[in-house]
Amino acid sequence: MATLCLTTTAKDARTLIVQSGNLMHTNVTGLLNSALKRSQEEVLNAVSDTFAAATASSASAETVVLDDQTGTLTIRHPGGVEAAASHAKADDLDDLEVTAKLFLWPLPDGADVTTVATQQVDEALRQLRERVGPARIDNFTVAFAGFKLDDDEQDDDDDDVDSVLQPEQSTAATKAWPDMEYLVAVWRVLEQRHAAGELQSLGVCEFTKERLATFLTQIKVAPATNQVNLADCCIMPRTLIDYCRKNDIKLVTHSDACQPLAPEPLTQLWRGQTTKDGNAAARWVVKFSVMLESRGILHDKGYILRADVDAGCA
Amino acid sequence: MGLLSLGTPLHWKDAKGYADHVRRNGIEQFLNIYRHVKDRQRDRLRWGDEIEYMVISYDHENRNARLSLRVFEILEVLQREENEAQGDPEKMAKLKTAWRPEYGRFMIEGTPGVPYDGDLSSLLKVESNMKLRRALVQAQLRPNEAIVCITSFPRLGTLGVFLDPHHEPNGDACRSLFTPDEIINPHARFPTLTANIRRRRGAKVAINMPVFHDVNTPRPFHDPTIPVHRGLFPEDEEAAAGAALPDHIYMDAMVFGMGCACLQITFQACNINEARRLYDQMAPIGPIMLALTAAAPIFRGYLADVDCRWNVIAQSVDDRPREERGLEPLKDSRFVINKSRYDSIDCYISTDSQLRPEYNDLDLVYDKDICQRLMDNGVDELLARHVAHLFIRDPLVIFRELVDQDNTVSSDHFENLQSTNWQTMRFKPPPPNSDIGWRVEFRSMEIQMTDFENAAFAIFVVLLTRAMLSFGLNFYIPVSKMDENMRRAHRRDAARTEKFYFRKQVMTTPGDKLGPVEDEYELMTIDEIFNGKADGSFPGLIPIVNSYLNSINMDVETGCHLSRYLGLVRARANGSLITTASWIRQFVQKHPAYKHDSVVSQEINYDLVRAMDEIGRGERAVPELLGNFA
Repeated sequence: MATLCLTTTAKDARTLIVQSGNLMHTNVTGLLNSALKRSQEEVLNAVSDTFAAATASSASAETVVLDDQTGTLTIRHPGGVEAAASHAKADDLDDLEVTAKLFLWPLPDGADVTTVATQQVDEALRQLRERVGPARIDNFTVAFAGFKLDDDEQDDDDDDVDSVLQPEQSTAATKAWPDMEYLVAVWRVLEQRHAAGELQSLGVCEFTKERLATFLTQIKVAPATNQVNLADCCIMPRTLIDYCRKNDIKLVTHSDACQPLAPEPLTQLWRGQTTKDGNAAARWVVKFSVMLESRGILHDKGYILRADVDAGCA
Repeated sequence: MGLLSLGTPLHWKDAKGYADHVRRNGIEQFLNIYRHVKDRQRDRLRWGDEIEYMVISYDHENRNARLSLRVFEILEVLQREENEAQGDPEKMAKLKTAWRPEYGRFMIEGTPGVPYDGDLSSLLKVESNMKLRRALVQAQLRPNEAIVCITSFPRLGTLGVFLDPHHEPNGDACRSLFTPDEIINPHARFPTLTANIRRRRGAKVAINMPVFHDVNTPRPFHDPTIPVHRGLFPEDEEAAAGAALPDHIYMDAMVFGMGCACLQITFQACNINEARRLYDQMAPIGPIMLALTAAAPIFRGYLADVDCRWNVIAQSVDDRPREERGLEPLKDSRFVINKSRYDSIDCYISTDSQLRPEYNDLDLVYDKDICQRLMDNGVDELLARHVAHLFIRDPLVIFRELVDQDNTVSSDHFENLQSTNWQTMRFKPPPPNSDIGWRVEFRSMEIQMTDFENAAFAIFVVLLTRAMLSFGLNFYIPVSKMDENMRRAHRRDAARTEKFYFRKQVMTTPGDKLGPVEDEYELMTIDEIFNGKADGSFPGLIPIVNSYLNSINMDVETGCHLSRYLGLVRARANGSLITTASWIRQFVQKHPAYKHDSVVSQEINYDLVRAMDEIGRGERAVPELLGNFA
């Protein structure tokens, strides 16, 4: 397999964008079990599969593109390019419904929160649009990578939280995580996009009642949904259920790993494409799915990754 | 409905002269529909379940549970709302339930009033609608009556009293040694269907299910309760002349089969090709679901060595004369036919590239002229052969007044044959001049005692179709292997002890290199099929469904309910919960009055039916059957 270094395109890359194929067709989703631990592998497999397909000799020129100006290396799965083309000219556009989830990683030290938040959301939505076409984005959820409900120390002690919601080893090392200032900044950008009609509803993920209550005082457009992980049990903190009902926030399920993409495997994957000195750190990941609403059929599903990279092959 | 007069049904000797007429016009009707709607696109998913109930009448004094023949009185009330809504689309759209009579005069078929749609949250309506149906019937019952979901009524056709009111078995339509004609739906169509099957066959139907040999069961077992020397009808001699096999439970009437209850699901596809794909892909699931929903271990008062109803129904409507069954050289018949009208499907029909010609490995019996005519009119060969295969049969019931029809507005002749081919799957063209799309019916499942279980299996099947279409799953195995799976599904406790042919790679990518078909499938346990193989080589149907659900924004309430339903299916499949058939069998074997001689007495039946009744109403805990899901 041709690595990116051999094609020299990766040498000057500072930013990596990866658009996966349609996981419904490349079978990545289906082959995996539904178990929570596996959803990490899903993102990783999607990225790895995209590297392989995009650098295969049969791939077209648009699958690996380096923007010399910005140092952005974009890698598109040929299947994703195909899916995007078909979405763009779909004759049943009103039947397509997109849901997306943006995972955020801690900001680099010293970054200006407002500026970076705007850049990240703009970039993520631009990439999402490129991949899913003009279909209606029904729900757009924001999540902190590596954060889950019970990591939240403000949670009520007397809530009957079931064992599956007990803390696991948190991989988010940064002390100021979840960074609510960052989220609020991101949310403001999303509110504008919502007002412009681009995003039908907004959502948060793994928020306790207390976090929601604080969040609601800081923002204008309240989240329509709060994602919680149910695994195979249905016991939820009562206070959260009541609070969400009162505030018209729908509790919805998800089964994403709280850390969708661990740093080491991503770096390893990148090094496999470049050199042993390469480095890659995720900035955000968008998980998306496209439903054919009237038939209950998942038409397309995939991931978009943005990472800061260094090929180490100069 | 039961009082509706359609006219004069013809005796078989008159009806058979019209067989070619009905076939010829039936094909024209099919072609008219096909031309008109073959390009119909973008229909929504709509689906519905059908549940068949039995109405029980208790005689507490004599400790007897009988089938009630009062159903038509009850139906009249149940159907009132629908009858009044006729012609008013607004009212029709608000109907909560719909009711139909069935073959047995003790049966009621209930469906949701309007189909469910593709929205996941509509799945939550399923169980509550089933509960409503139960309550609506319940409200019409007398204190000693009950509505119970029973696949096969254990004492049907036994000596003594099993009907309320009692009738002696001396009816001319079925001429059965065991069951009276009064047990049949009184609408003219049904007694005629019964009689014409017998007349066409040249004998009564002969149903033989292996008896379960318990420690005190005589071996060989010759059923002492068969009145072999009755001498009322010429057919009475058949039992002694070999129709009743030793070591078998012998039954001689259509009601033993068509009086069984089942759980069926109908889907509307977005277009004809999706319907053909659904038909094919769900077909191999049919025998698997039959094994998992097995609920019929008792026939005519004896424990059987099978757990399912299917073969009983197949034999109960087998109208093939000896020539068609291959027992005599063809003289008057046109074909030797391998199966009953009620049986597993014989051929796949999808236009999908996943369908390899090798999968259609039965030597399909079909009418070559009809096939040619269909192809001359633009129908592709696969579909033409399917229809020409259904049309090897004769129409059994013809009404004198309905012989001549306007083929542009009627599909009666087509439906005459289509709806008397009762296969594991049914491919349903839209009715003429309707807004209904192409549909597919999934027909193998047996009825469960509780609404919760019936909802769970219905919902699992619906979700599996969505996952199948979303992932482009491939369940194909050769038709002959599906047939073998049907045989295995009947065996005692098949869900826990049998292995079934299943496809190894259900995720195939177009362009994959094709190996020999024999390498594509292997024998798997039900647990492996549903929950996956331990070595990870097969993902399992439930993880696949979960994988589909995980990609959808689903509210917590829906998620919790669905996890209960899928939990039940998972537990039945891994054997931690037993099937309905096993539960019934164990109940009999543990009953103090059971003499370990395979006999399910009136007293045992009374206690059994009452227990099933209580379970259905949620008044009796059965953790071995429902775990803590219900």
